[in-house]
Amino acid sequence: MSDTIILALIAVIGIVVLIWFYNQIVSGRNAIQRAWSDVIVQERQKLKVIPELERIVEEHKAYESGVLEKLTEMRAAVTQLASDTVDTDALKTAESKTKSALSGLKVAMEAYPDLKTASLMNNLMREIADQQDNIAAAIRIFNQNVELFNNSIETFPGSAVNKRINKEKRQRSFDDNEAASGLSFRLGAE
Amino acid sequence: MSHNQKLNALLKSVRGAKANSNTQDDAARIVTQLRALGGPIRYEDSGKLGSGLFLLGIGAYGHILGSERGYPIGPDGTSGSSVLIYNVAIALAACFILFWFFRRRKAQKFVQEVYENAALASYGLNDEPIPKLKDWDRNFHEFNRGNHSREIMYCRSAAGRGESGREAYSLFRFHWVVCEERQVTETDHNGHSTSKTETTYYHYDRYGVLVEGNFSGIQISSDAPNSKYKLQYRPASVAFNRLYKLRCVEEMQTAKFLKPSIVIALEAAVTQLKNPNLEFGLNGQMCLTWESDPFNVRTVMRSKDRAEELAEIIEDGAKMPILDVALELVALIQRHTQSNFSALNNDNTWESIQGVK
Repeated sequence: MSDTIILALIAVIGIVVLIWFYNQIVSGRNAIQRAWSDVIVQERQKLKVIPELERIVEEHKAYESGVLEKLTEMRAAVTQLASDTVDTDALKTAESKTKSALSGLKVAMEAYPDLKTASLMNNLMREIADQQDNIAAAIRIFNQNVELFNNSIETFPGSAVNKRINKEKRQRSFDDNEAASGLSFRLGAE
Repeated sequence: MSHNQKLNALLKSVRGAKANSNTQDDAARIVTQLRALGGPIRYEDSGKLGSGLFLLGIGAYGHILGSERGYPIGPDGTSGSSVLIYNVAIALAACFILFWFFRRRKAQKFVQEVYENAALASYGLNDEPIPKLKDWDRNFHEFNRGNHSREIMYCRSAAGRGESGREAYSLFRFHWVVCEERQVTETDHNGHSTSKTETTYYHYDRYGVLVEGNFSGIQISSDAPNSKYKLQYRPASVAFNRLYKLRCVEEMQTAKFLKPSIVIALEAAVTQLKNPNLEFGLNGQMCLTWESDPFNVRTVMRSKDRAEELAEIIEDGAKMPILDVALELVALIQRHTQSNFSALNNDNTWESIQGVK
């Protein structure tokens, strides 16, 4: 086999490897975008529950506790989240507003016994707990994808391909430990 | 009473009692008996093993020496008697070693049996008539394995426990055999070659739980035969997509099922269940399978034969960590796939029920 064929073979292998890494980076970026959209979809599930919560709080005269304002703030924060732009700060705000609204609801439930025993309220609280689980899981998936993407653009030879062709920047993961720790599905965990 | 006699008595007593019942009381009695043993669940046969090895050494050394330098001549003027002595030594050695081996296995089997019975009682698992594989095969791809034989080895069911939210389930063991035939050509010293077919049988097992599910036609597999479902679905998690292949009948239904919590739980399951597969059959049942034996005492016992450790395990409810992980996953899936408002939605009271007034 002549040297030319060997060189051509090496060049073909090099191009294939280059394309593979290029595609990996592109799909990694898309995976982050999709995971982010999932986080937003899960966040927006809250919007289905908020009107019911507001109504039940009003009916039980629990609005004095300021919980209605907190629910409104939560709705505003969730509505501001955009699925096409990764904005972890906005997500952090939405999560902190949710926490504030939930703690307000808990206080209201303690203060208004009728509210605590309402079956619809209990179902709503269970639904919110499930939603929070799913949000936490979606955030974890987002963070996993970000980590894989960052690894792909920072380790060789992905770093070389990215520097010359993709030119993608390192992505920020969502670092609100409190939101991510609200997971109740660590199987077999003590 | 020697340790071996005590162990024999324990084996006899436990096996005798097992035939009659299998309850928590039995478990408590076994704990007392194990503690009373005062030693390991192992026969003290080291003397027999030592004798066996010594005789084997003599027999083998005699034969090696005899074949090199010639066997010693006996009183009859031939080497026959010395050959016989060496052979008898080897035969005796084999008897001693086999005796040691079988008694060792008997004790190990006993440990496994005691744990398994205690676990069955603790989890409320009862043997069920073995279902027809054909029925399961019709609904699940999981059982489409093996080209020689396929069999459900056992099917044990447990009733639901209202207080812990655990629903009724069936635990089963699926065994299948793959037969591989290959042509082998051998050439003798005359240059004649003969070809023959060599058949090898590979035995495999998978364990699983079967419960009622809320979806149908979804197969999530880390290790499974090819799916017949045509549609592929990939959730957002890159890690999940590396671990599992997902095929389904309907994408919308799969998207509804595969909530982020379930994705993360399935990712976590891979580290605790070996090669898990999850499938919603066409009949709506959910089947979760994996490779490791949930009844294997080695999953909970660190030592091989410490009676005190086994007693403690039984006292603590003979936990089956593998099954616990599987049931936890099933419970999580069921929690996330059941509506919190289903009771309200069913009778259209979602609007009318507004708490107690």
